[in-house]
Amino acid sequence: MREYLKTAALILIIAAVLPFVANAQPLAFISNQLDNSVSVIDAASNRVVETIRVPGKPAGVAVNPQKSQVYVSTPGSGGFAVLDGRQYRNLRFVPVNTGSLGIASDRSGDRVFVADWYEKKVSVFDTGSFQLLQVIAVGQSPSGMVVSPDNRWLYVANRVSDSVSRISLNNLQVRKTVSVGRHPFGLAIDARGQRLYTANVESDDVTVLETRGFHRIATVPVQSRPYAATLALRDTLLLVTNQDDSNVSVIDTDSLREIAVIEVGDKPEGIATHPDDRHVYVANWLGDSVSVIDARTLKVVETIGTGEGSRAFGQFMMDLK
Amino acid sequence: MKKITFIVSAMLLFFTAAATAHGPVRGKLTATVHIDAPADQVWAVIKNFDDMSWLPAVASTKAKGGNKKGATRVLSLKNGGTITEKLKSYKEDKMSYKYKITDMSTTKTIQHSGKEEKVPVLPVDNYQATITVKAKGNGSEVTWVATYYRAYMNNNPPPEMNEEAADEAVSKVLTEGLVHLRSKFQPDADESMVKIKIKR
Repeated sequence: MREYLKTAALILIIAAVLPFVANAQPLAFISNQLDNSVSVIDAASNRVVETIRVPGKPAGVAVNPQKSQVYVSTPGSGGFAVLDGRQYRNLRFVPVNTGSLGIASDRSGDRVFVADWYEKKVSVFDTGSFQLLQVIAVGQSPSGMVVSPDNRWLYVANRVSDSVSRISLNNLQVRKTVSVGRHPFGLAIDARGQRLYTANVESDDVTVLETRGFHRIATVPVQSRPYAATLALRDTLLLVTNQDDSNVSVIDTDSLREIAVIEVGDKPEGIATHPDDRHVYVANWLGDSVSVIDARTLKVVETIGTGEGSRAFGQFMMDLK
Repeated sequence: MKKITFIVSAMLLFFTAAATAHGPVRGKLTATVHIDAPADQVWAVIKNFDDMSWLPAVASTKAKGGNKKGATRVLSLKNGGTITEKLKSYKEDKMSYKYKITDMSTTKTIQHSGKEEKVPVLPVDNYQATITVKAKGNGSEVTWVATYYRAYMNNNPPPEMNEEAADEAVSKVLTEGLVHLRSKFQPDADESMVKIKIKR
């Protein structure tokens, strides 16, 4: 009886403490293309807590905090993997098309969008059943995608068409397409959904768009072959990975100028901001690591070893409540 | 019999297509060789960005900018092609430099999927490489890491521009280079001494 009481008390304590432990747990899910795995980084301690096997050359990452799920595109197997973001498990594979690369989830966590590099289309899946809901025709080699904070719009970078399409999430129709720099790849949007940034791989610059009329307002030169971008410090800074210079450009979003260049690991690709809005995580493809930048000091504060070919293209940081 | 042959070739065709229908993923090829000579002596042979005379496929090098970041070189190949490269970083203290291909001549034009495709002299896209010399034991180890995409970016590439073609061509150039580099110090150099690892 005593033993029983002891056990019961222990269970109660654990049950009481668990929600607090689980409260606000920032995690980074880093796809390692050459290792066919995903490294899970606890972004509070900056340690790799698990490595999940994900076959098919994992590339793009999208998080769904509502369902505690992570979607990882696998161009090698033509689809995406669904990961359990709490148990760190690979739950299932959803076949799409051979060119599955860019991936994004909507803000309500109901739908996931997969861009097809070869087919000029974006496939829309339901995150409950993983049934294909619709296919949206876009430009050539669609890659990076981002959903507006109000969940009304999906933006798609059409890499070979040098444009960005704006898609209504009500009816899944393209509303407008604007031209940007050469070969836009990664996209970033501010917290109010008013400004959109594209990293243009071939023209070595960033196009700044205002979303109200969906117009181009500026072009900011960066370094060599920019890949992806993220915002930090209340949208005052935009950080952009430059693949061929192994550094990150920092753009002041007020003056729209590059104000600093930070050395990171070799071939930086995916980039995302910690929920604290201050630390920025960069996946280094050739460095097999993640560099953590403090946006206040503009210095690399930590380098975390991951797997070979860390790519993490998309929103790979998740704050689990 | 004829029918069986047909089925087999149809199957082969299918498997070939399936094997090459990869997504847009970059490959990484690592070539290494051990040389029984001090690292600084080995580095001295390869250290000048404007001197590629140690690479057998190269007939002559025209360069500007020395060993400074941003320097360029045009390699005239023995097969008649040209490759233009740019120096991306140079670390004398680490005996290492990184460069990328910015332009290449075309070896031939082929018809594929109803379009004309230009096959570059090295059938790759977005090629970058780093060569490093490190002291190891009494000798040194040279590591040459190349990263690249296949030359054809759409689905179902032609055989001249698929991933196998890219891997084979890059393997050949790097192996020849490292064998020749080793032969400057040791007469026994041959291809089996170069280790090649390809990941994609």
